[in-house]
Amino acid sequence: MSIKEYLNIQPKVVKMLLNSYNKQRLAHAYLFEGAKGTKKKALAIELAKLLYCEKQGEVCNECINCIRIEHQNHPNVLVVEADNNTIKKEQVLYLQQEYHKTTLEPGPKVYIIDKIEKMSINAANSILKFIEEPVADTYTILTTDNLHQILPTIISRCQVINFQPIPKASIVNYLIENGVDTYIAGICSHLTNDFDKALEIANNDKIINIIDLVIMISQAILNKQEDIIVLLENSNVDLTKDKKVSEYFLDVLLIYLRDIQNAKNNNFEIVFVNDLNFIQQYVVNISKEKLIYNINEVLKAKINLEYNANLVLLIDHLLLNLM
Amino acid sequence: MKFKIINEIFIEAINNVNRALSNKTPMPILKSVKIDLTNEGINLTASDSNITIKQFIPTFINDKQIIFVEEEGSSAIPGKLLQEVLRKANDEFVELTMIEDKLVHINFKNAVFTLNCLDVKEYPNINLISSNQPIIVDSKKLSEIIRQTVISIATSESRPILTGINFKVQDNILYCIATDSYRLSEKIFKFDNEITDINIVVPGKSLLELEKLIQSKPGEIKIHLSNNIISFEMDNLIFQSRLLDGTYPETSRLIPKEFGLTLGFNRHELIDIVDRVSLLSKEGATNIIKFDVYEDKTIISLESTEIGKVVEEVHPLSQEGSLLRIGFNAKYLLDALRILDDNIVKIMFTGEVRPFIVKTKDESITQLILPVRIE
Repeated sequence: MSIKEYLNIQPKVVKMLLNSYNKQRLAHAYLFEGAKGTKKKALAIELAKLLYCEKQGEVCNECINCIRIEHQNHPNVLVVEADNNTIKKEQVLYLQQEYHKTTLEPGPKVYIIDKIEKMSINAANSILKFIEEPVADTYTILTTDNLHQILPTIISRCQVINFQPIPKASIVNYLIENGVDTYIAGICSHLTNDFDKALEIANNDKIINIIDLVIMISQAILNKQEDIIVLLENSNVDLTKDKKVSEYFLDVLLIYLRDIQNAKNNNFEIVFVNDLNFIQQYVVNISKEKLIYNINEVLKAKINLEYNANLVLLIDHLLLNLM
Repeated sequence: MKFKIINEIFIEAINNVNRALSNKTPMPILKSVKIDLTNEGINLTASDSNITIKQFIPTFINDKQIIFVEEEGSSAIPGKLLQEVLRKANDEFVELTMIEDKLVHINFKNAVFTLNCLDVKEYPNINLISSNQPIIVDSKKLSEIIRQTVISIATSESRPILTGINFKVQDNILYCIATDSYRLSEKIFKFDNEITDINIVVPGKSLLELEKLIQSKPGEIKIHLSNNIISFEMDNLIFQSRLLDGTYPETSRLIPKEFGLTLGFNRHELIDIVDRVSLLSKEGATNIIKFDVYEDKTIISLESTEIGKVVEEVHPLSQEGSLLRIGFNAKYLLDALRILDDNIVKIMFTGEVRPFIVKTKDESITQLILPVRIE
């Protein structure tokens, strides 16, 4: 994708970067901040290409510089990424050494550090040193999913750029273009902010079964049926084998509960459109307090899942509490 | 690209350039050796982005044909793998053929290796400079310059500029200076041709690598200096390094000119004494050795509250000037003594808390050490 194709995803950011580039007013350090999947790293790489592309002021993705940056083979563009969820000390050391050397090929130096919150405080402090004393023709781009985890000293030395969450509609469109059913696309778009991740979920062969199961269980809760656990046993999905499946299950369940809550507040713009009539009919059966309690239970289960709780116990416990 | 080459010569060249390869590089393409084939010969390039080594193999050496070129071209072949394959080859000749952009055949005797390669177009465009005003130096001399200064480079990364050696050209003299801010080594090299003044800092690691490479290669070396690259040109071989960015501290005023006390020692004897006295030093700590200079003798001592104390008496070969008592890091003196060549060394002091220098009759090299305050 060329930088201009990001215009409909992050219009403000792209326009701002292009303007600064054209006026030669690019800052020496940027901090790209926004939710997961908002294309922060992709745009950081696009910015590097913009600086190097043989077609001035564009990103062609065809010239040797664009290709090399894409393959991380450009000697003056260094991308540092978290390896196993942390940015290691050696990586920071290497970065520091690179920072103090002259370039191999003529041109500006570009450093991209993805997910800077994965860095230890010590490492972040040493990064600080070179953001603080910018060398001419050097650009540092940091990205983060969570601005609150970043040292204030780092934030104050960067130009912070806010990435807007991606509109659900564009994810839905993207999924439909890739052959996903409209109804499922609608649900999947609420599970993630990332195009590729959404497609991956939509293409998971279990997702339809998971959605069916959620609908059955939720209807049972609204109906005041007593046999939720039986439903679970008759279903085609085994929630107790794969952590990923359980995770999707909890997320989808949460969306359904939110739909019920919206209906309770007379807001009928819901995600499970096929169930609109059912929800309208039975929403009186559940009290607001019980609904909030149920949502809290699901959130609690999500946290326990992160901590590798026993899946069988976790799901049984949750369902008993939901009734 | 297609050619046949005498394996023995090819291996030697690959071994030379492979010194530049590194496993740790973040750029996948730098795991490859770049081969550029023309009718005149082969250019091999390998790099870890800090240092780059380029070797040329001519088609003919002394009228003997080394390379049989069938089709000119370039490719990037995984360096370590190529080296292994060639080493195991059991034939006088090997043949390399590029099948398509990212596939290379290596043939010898009855074996065919097909290696996956990367696109050679992605290889960094490394500009090997050759200015028309190089400094010409004998390889032995260059090796000496590096060995005698590199001991003083800083090992900690807290001041990156000090991990390099300062190459300063001024009025046809090359000054090579290294310091970690506790000691300093300065080597002076005079040359004849006209060269524009320049002041750059070369990473110490690169120079150590160069020193290993030139040990076995006698002859003349041309040093090309520029503001972002330094390169050393030998017979068919170019070694190039990136530089450290920044200004090197001004050191010319640090070396004292007048001295209150000069002691002369036999270098080997003094090394033995300092080494012996350092026995009581603690691993990892800085060990302060003391010199007490009297009229007729000098007492060298080291005291460690945990381990004990050692005192040794020495009679300097010569002594000139006022008496003094001084303490400093034993390791610094030992390092300085070991890299000097002459049998006789002179230690020249200016005061108890002033830096002192270690010299031999070779005027080009100066080792400076900072003392510590004692009592």
